[in-house]
Amino acid sequence: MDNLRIMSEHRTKIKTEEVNLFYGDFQALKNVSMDIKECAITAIIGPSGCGKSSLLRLFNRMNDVIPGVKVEGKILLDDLSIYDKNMDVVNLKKRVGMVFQKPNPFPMSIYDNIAFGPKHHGIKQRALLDEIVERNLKQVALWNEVKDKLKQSALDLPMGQQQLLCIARALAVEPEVILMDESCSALDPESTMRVEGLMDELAQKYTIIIVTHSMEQAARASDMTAFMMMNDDRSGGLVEYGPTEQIFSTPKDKRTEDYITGRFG
Amino acid sequence: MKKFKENFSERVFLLLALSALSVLALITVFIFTKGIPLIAKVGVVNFIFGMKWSPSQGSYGIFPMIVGTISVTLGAAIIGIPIAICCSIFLAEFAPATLRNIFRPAIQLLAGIPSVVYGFWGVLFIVPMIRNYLGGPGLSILAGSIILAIMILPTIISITEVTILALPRHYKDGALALGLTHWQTIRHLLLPAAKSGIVAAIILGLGRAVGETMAVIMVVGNAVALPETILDPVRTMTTNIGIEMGYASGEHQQALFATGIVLFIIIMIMNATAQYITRKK
Ligand SMILES: Nc1ncnc2c1ncn2[C@@H]1O[C@H](COP(=O)(O)OP(=O)(O)O)[C@@H](O)[C@H]1O
Ligand SMILES: [Mg+2]
Repeated sequence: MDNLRIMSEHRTKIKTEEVNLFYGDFQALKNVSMDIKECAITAIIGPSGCGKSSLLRLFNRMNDVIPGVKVEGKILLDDLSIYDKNMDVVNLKKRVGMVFQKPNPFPMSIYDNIAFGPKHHGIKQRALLDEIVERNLKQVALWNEVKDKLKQSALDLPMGQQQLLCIARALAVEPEVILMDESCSALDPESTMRVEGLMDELAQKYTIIIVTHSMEQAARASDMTAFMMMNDDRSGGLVEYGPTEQIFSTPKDKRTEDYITGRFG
Repeated sequence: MKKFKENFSERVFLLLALSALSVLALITVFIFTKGIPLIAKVGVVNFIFGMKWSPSQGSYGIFPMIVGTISVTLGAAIIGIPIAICCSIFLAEFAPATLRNIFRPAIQLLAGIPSVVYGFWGVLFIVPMIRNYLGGPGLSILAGSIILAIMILPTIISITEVTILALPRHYKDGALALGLTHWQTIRHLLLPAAKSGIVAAIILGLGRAVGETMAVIMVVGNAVALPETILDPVRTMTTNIGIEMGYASGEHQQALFATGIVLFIIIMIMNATAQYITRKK
């Protein structure tokens, strides 16, 4: 995708303005402002502990379950304030799906894994569920491998297929945004390529935000890259954010350059 | 030298383990040799389905006692299981650490109270309460069920809680991320995933209820008759043995051992089922 086109032609899907995040007294994110483009892949990179996961989990309010968590600043999904107290969190989670680091299929059949989300959002007709399962498994290119064993436990699939299944499970509730937190780090290179290929395809329709510790992956698979780093007080901050090509070829910040050239991190 | 020590202690442990096992085996053999002749004489069907228990007349039918055991256990299950499951969900998923640290030892303590104390408490509070508010003699299936329900709580709660806590954290994350509430996650993901552990916990708890004697003797009235309502007194198999063993001799004593065999088999089946269910997972 053309870099400048992303900046100009893609509208903003998620907007954060001066976001601070606290776990109790500890400030994990300081002053993060970024516009995440719709229908593009945004990669968040940075050394471990700099708050990448924390930032990602802000977008679907997965931080809510952590006791003592506090969010300041503005986070908008389209025009909706995610942390507004009237926010319908169930609906937010429907719109913003998440894929985790370790594949986490539920201990049930392949079919039930995919149907799990839609069922809970009120879809009861068997035929409709069948159709959803098939469509989403096809979408992640897993259908041919599993169509004859939909009733078998998802836990018996190899890791790579499990992760694709988890992506399909997230897609089944028809999200607009998909968050992926180091979702390839537990996978072999071949499965990683499969997931990356899928991300590329999904980016036509979905806004994808990935956290990755692999700079190659960010460079290879993303349209936009955000580089984060810990401030001196250990809170995480956004150092530089821009089109991936620009970040990796002509970083503006010295720290970004040091990081991507492997001088630390 | 070191090797010798290792070998030596290994042998000692083996010996101890074997002697414990052989005592167990001895007891089993003893019960069976004592009881089987009577079952053989009366006949299995007559013994189990016979309605009349009258040792002085040579009638040995334990059906009323089997009904007693089943009804009291079933009652304990109906009262105890929902409470136990709710408690363990609360402990595993909702209780803040401080509350959990009070609750958990308290429940362990519940397991350590001697059963005669439960019985005593039942006689003083439960039985009169039933008599006054619901009628009947008070000494009843209901009284036994309530006491047993309390007694099986620790077993079911602790095993269920451990099972829920042992589920991988990422199951929950996955469900929450799909938009389920915490409660829906528990109901539709965690409980089904913990099902085998919970069933095993229930079976072990009920095994305890079937085998409990002292507390039950004190509150169920011990009449050898088929009950008609839950306010009627009953006699269970364990209480039958507990009450009569002091003076029984000869055939009568054999009949009590035979009752023991039936109990033994029931509890073995229950425990084996529990083991099978947990292993299958
Ligand atoms: N639930 C939590 N409670 C307290 N501190 C946390 C929690 N999660 C993360 N942190 C802290 O926040 C900082 C950022 O963590 P995280 O977002 O996981 O970083 P990254 O994903 O970049 O490795 C770390 O210092 C971490 O210790
Ligand atoms: Mg992380």
